[in-house]
Amino acid sequence: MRPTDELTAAERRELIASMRPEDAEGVPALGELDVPAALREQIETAMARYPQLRSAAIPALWAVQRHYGWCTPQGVREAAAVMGVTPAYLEAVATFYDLIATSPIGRHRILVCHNISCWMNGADELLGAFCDAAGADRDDADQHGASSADGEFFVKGFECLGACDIAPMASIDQRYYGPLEAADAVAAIEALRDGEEPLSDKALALRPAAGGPDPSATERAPDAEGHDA
Amino acid sequence: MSAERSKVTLVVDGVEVTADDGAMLVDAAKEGDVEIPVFCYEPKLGGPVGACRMCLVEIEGIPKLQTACSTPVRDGMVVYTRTDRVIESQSAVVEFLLVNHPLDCPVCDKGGECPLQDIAMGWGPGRSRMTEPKRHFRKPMPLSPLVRIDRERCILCYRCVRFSQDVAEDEQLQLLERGASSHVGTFDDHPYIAPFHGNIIELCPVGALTAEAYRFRARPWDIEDSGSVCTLCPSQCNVMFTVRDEHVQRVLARDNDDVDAGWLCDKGRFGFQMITSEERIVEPRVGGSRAGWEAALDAVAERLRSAGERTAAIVGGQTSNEEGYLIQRLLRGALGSANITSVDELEAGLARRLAAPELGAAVPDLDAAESILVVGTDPLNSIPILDLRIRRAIRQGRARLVVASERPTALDGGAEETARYAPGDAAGFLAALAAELGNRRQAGAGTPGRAADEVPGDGSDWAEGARRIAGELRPGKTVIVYGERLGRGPGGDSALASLLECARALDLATAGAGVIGVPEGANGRGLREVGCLPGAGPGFAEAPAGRGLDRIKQGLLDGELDAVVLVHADPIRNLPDGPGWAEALRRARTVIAVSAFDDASTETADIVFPAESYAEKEGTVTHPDGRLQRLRPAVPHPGNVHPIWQVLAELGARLGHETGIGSVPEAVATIAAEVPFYAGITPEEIGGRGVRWQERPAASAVAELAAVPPEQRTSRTNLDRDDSGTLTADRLRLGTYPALWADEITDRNVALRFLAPAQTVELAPSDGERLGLASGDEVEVRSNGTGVRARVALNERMRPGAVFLIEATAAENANALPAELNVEVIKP
Repeated sequence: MRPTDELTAAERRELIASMRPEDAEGVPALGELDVPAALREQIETAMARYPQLRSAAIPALWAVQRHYGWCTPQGVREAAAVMGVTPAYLEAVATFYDLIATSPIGRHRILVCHNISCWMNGADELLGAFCDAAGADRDDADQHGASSADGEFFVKGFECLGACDIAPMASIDQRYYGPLEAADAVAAIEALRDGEEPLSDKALALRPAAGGPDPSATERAPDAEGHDA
Repeated sequence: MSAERSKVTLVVDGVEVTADDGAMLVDAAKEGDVEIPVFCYEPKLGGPVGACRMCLVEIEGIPKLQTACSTPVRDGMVVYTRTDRVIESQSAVVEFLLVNHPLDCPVCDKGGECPLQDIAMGWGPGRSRMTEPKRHFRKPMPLSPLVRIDRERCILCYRCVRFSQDVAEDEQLQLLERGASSHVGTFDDHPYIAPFHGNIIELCPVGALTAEAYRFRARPWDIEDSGSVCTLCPSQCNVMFTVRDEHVQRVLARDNDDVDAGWLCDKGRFGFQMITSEERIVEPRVGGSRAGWEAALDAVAERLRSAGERTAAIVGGQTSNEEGYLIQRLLRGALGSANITSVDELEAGLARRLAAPELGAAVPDLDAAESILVVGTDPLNSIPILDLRIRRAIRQGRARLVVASERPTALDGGAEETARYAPGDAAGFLAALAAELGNRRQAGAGTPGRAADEVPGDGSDWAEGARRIAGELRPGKTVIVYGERLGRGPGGDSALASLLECARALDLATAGAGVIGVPEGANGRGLREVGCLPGAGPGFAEAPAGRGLDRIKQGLLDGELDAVVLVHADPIRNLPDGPGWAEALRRARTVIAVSAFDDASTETADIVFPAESYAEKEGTVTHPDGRLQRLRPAVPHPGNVHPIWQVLAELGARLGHETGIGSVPEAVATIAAEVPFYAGITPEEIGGRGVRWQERPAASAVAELAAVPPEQRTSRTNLDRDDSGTLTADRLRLGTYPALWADEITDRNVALRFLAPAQTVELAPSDGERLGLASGDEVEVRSNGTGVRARVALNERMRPGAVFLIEATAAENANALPAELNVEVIKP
C-alpha cells in the first residue's frame, strides 16, 4: 500500500474501489477454512487448559509457528477461527512477543544472549561467529534478527535469556547451550546443516547436574511445551 | 437514578466542590470550574484506564500524584491541580507525548480543534529537549475508504482501539508491536470497515485519524455548528452538522445518552453528501418538465380536486410529524379520503395498544434491564445505534440477551439463547412464546430458570424455542425490542397480538420494563401518532376506515383509486411486490411525488415536488421510544426547494381547507392540540435533548391507551397457514430483510457506495450441500416465474429450509419477487 497523498485522484479512486467491505477481517468462519487437524487439535487443547479463552492466544500462536515455521497470515487466521477471535487480536499478541515471528525466518532459530553477563564474556564475538557461520547479516542479527539466504538459520542477538551461569550462551531451537566459544558456533551450524544434534556436550538440558538425562543418551528430552523441538 | 446518589464535598484548588459520590475527580473538578487535562479519559468508552498520565494531581494525604480520571472522589478530599509538582509532571507528560509528534499543525486537519494542541499550549513546557529523530511511518494510509490514518501524529492513547474492542466489539483495530514500534493497525493491513468505525475519527484527540470526506475542507474558524437530529434511520441520533459556506461538511455526534450514548453509525456520519448532490431534484416538475411553484400547486390542486376521495397517500419514514399531520389532514379534511398510510402501517387497534405509555420502554431502560428480548429484527440493520446500546448492557453484566428471529442477527454472539423460526412463522412462534410465558405465570413460575420439562408444551419446534427463550426472561424487568415488520403479512396482526400477550405475561407495564418497536422508517412512530394510519386519526382518534398499503395498490390496479401522493416514499423499491407497485403506479391516473431524487416511483409521477433534506428541515420527529425531537435547519434550501409543510398547507388552502398553519411552531401547536398525549408540547419544551411524551403529565390523559381489553388468545388456528415450525428439505422458504447498506442513502452518497451489498442469498450449509451450492456461487432465486440473481453465502447460523435475500438493493431487489413463501434456488 502507498500513502494516499502520493496517489493521483484516479489512483485514489481505484484504491477505494479495491477496498471491499468483505476485506475487513472479522472472526473467520471455521467452516470456510481448511485448518490442519493437528493444528486445530493443539489449539483446542490449549483452549481447554485455561478458564479464560484468550489465555490460549500464545500457545495457539506457538502452535501456528511450529506448524508453518512462522505465524503466517493464513495460520493466524486459522488460529483465530478455531479460537473465535479476530486475527487482528492474535496479531496484536504475536507482534508484541519477540519469540513469535510474523515474517518468515530461518528454519533453525539461534538466539544469542547479549545481556550483561554474556556480553562481558564475549557475546558480541559469539553472535558474530554464528552470523558468519550461518551466513546471516551481523547488523540485522543484532537488531531484529537475520535469516541466512538459504533459509536454514535465523540468528538474533537477544536480551537476557536468564542463563548467566553458562555465559556466554545461546538458545538453539529452544534449547540452551553454553558456555560457548566462536568455534562452538561453527560446529553447531555444521551439525545443524548435517541434520545432527549440535553441541551435545554443552546442552544445558542434557547435563546431569541440570536434571537432564545421562549425556550418553541420544534421545532428546521434550521441551517445556511438551513437544519435541 | 443519579439524583438518588449521595453527594460528597471536596476542595479543589481551594474551592469547595460538591459532587456525586463515586464520580471521578476529573469530572468533580469541573463543578468547581477547574479543568484537569486528559487524553485517554473518555467515559463513553467505559471505565477509565489511567494510561496517558496527563491528569495527575496532588491529593492531600497521598504521597504520590494520582490520576484524576481514575480516582473516585471522597468526602473531605483536598486536591491541588496547579502545584509545582503537578505542573512539573504535566509538562513532562506533554513533552513526552510530543517526543514523536510531528507538530505539523499548520497542515493538520485537527489544528484549531485539537486536544493535543490545546493541552500543549495550556499545560506544556513550551519547548522540547528532544533532538533525536522522530518516529517515521508512511502516511497518510487509508484505514478504510472513509478514514485515513497518520501514524506519526498518533500519541497512542488507545481510544480508537478501545472503541473497536469495547464498544463496537469488532476487534479489528489493534495496537500492534511494542514499545517504540507500537502503532495502531489491523490484521495484515486489511481495511477496518465496520458499521460504526467513523466514531474513531471523532474520538481521536490528535489528527491521526481523519475523515476522507473532511480532509482539507475547513478550519474550525471557518465553520458553524448546527445541532439537529439525523433522520436517516429510526435511531434518530442527535447530530451536530459542521457547516461551512452553507454546506454541510461533516456530521458529529451531539451526545445524548437518552438516545445515542454519543455514537453515530457510518450512515449517519458520512451520509451527508447527498444533501449537496447534483442529482437532487430542486424544482417542481409537472409532466416531466420544470415548473414554477404556482403552476405545480395549481396542477396538483386541480387533479386532487377531481380525484377527491379516490385519492390515497403513502408517507415515507423521513417525513416529519408536521408534514405527516398536514398530509393526513389534506386527505381527510380537504379530500374526504381515509386512504392515508405510512410504510410503518399497523392495524389501528394494535398500534394504539402498542403505544400505551406504561408499556413503552425508554432507550436507557435497556441499560438497567435484567433481560432483553430482541425479536423479529436485527438492530444492526434496522436501528444500528441500539446494537451498540444492547452490547453495552450485556457487557456491563446486568442484562441477559435473548434473540428470536428468522435470520441470524449481529447480536447472536452475545445472546444467552437464540431461537430461529422460519420466515413467515413469527406469529406461530410468538403465540407459542405467549402461551409459554402465560403458563409460567399461572404456575406461579414467575421465577426464571425452571427446568424446561416442568412446563407443559406441545413438543413442537416452536414450543421448544419458546421454552428456551421464556426461561431467560425476567418478569417486570425485561425490555423487548421488536421489529414492527412482525406486523406485516397475513399473520402480522396475530403476531403483534401475541407480542402484547407476552408483554402482559411478563408484567412489562412497569417502570424500567416495556417494549420498543423498531419501525422501518425513521419517523415511523411519529407518523402513526399524528394520524398517518388508515382508520386512526391524530392521537389514534377514531377515524373512518381507509385503505392500507395493499389495498391502495389493489385500488390503483382496479381503477378504484385515481390519485396517489407519495411523500418521501418509493414503494417500487422499498415495499414488497415492487413489480405490483410499478404496475399500480403506472395505472394510476395521477401520481404526485415528493422526493429529493429521481427513482423508480418518481418516474411514474405526473407531478414531482422537490423534497427537503434532513439538514434543511424544521420540525419534529418521534423516536421509537416516544421521545419527540426537534429538527433544526442547518443549511438553506437549494434551488427552488420549499419546506414541505408549507407546500402541504398551501395545497390544503387551494382545495378550500384552510389549516391556519403558517409556521412550524403553529403546526406543532396544532398537533399538540389534536394529539391528546402530545398536549401542550412546544418546540421550546422539546429543546435540544427531546422529551418523551410518556414522561409528561399529558400522558396520563390517555388512560384509554393503556386500558387494553384482554385480547382473545391467539391460537394456531387463527393463522393463515397451519404448518408446523419444521421445514421439510424439498421446500425452501424465502425471507427478506433490510440490510444496513441496501438503501437509497448508500446509493446517493458517493463515499458510501462501496458498502452497497450485491444481492446475496443466504442458506444453511446443509441446504447448500443438498443443492450442490458453495459460498460465492452465482444462482437465481426463482419464485412463480420471476427470478433474482444472487451470490450464495452459506451461513452456519441459518435455519435449514430458509433462504434470505436483501430488500431494496439497487439491482436484483428481493422486493421484485412476488410475495410467495416458497422459492427455488437454481444454478444457471
